[in-house]
Amino acid sequence: MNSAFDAVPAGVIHLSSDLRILAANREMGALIARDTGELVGESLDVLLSAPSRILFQTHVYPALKADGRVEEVFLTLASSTGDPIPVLLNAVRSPGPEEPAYMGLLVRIRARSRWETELLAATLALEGERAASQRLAEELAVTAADLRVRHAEEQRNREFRDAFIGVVSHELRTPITTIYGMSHLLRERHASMAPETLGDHLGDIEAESDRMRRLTEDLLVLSRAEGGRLDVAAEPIVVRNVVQAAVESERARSTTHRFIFDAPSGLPIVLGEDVYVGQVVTNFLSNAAKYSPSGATIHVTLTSEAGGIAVRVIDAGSGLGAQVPDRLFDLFYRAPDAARQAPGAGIGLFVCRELVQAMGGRIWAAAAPPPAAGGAEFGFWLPAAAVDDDDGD
Amino acid sequence: MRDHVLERHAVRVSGDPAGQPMLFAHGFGCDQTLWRFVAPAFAGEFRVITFDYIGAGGSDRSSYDPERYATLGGYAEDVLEICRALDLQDVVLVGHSVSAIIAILASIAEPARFSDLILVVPSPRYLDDPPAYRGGFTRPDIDGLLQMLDANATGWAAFLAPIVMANPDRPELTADLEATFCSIDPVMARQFAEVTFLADNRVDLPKVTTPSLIVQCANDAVAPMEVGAYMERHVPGSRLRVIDATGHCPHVSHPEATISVIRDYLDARERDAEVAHL
Repeated sequence: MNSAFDAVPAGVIHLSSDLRILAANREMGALIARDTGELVGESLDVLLSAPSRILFQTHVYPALKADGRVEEVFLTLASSTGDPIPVLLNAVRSPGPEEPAYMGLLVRIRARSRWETELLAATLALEGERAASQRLAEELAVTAADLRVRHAEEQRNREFRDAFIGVVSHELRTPITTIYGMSHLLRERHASMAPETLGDHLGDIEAESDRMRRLTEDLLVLSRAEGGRLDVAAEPIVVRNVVQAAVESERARSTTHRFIFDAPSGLPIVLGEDVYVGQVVTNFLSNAAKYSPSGATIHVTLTSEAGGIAVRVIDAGSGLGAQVPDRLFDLFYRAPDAARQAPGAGIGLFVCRELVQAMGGRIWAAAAPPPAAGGAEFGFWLPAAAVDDDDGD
Repeated sequence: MRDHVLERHAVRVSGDPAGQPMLFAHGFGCDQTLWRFVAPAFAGEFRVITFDYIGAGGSDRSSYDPERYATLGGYAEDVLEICRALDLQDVVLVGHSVSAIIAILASIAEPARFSDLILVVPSPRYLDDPPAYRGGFTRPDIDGLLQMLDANATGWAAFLAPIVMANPDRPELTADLEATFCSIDPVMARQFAEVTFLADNRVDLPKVTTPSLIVQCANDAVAPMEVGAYMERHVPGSRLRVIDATGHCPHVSHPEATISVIRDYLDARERDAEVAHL
């Protein structure tokens, strides 16, 4: 029996329940270059390398205890020469009347282990490379997305700049041409001019200068809005007064249209800047005048609505068509009909929207309400200032 | 991914529902089933709770988060989440091996929640730190362990996973791996090993305010006697009990002795409390 035990071409050990070596065959000693006789009575730990001791205690022993067997466990043995000896371990809880004990079979896998180590290292390296290229691909994707965003932004900026230059040069050239022509004419011929003609020409110069002034104000708001710097102060405003002033001024400017201003008393105070509210109303009014036939009436109404004030300018023009274009308030947008009817830059309504939104309100365009047969309604709503009850003084 | 923390951690509750909670945390290398020789002994008077860390046993492996588990703090947070989910108070927290340190971290984070810590074969640092501290292992030893994990089936599985495991025609491979007793996700096992064996939690020991029992094996190749003594010196108010056992899993190899030292400790605590009351 002993000779057969010793003749097995693999290490065989018999362990007690607390993992002491009860018996070992000759090959077991040979595996670690020690005399087999020395091993008996020792703890299993003396056979194992330090990493194997951890693996055995944390993985192998619990499984052996619970399942009764483990198979193909890769371990390294601590040899007397210091080199770790790679082995595969199969172990079983040996049946028997005495307390549980274990039988283990250890097969050296030197060549195989070398190949496996190499293969594992290569697999790991490959996995590392794969992960690295994936990271690189992800970075590239991020960079590409970034570039696309930046490109789109630049494209937009370029389009904006081109449109801006086009519109501005055209819109400014028209009044300047008039002002220049009229001034020239006046300088040459004012002495011989009839007073009414003189008055007409001066009126033209005044009107064109006013148009330029308003355009410049719009451009100022536009440049702030584009730069994200459109800050509107929150000062209490009596909207009625601001709108009334704008109507008076438009009335003086446009002698060919009638303006009806209708505002109830007791409207709430809103927060914003009166100059800006005035600018919105003026834009609405000059649009209304521009698109309404001579002699037509333009209605301006103020109502208390939904916790704020709604301002409506209703013209008697040809209206906005069956469907109000979504882009009506977009920068440089001009409705097809509008472009045919009157000159314009497509800046005014955009500026109105930006200003109203900056003051926390909303803006709209719709068909004029009945009984009007045509015409358009342009309106905006601003929230009422919160009433501070605690403010006793 | 399973939503609830109790499902994610395959939490099992048994014993006396009205009893003091006793929460058992498994160590590196296996799952909650290892407590089955010890935990039932306390079911008569305690509410017994066992669970699996993410990646181990019946846990939800899909919710393994390498970032969360890059330190033992992530595991301590798991323990606290389970306590919160079950609204456990006055908990006796039992941690084996690395979970003893996890238990310490959890008790430092929420001292009010725990009545006692049972620290089974703990080590605050496995690496030697010469000349003053001997943890029992060197850096090459731990690197060797990591390589050994790679070279065993779990390691192969991890690295061949993209090639073999993802193959829908071979589901039996994955199934095999999961059916194994003490099955651990290979990726989790490797990171858990790294985090466990390279950690140094010596500075945390004096921060413990919860009374604790340190259970040490007389002959443990993973946590040697002097580490147990170090623990006792540095964990305030701790008691050390040595079991005459070989190995690192006294709850598996010597369940009766393990139960007995824990019971002695808890009984003594109770007596002390009664005396204090008189």
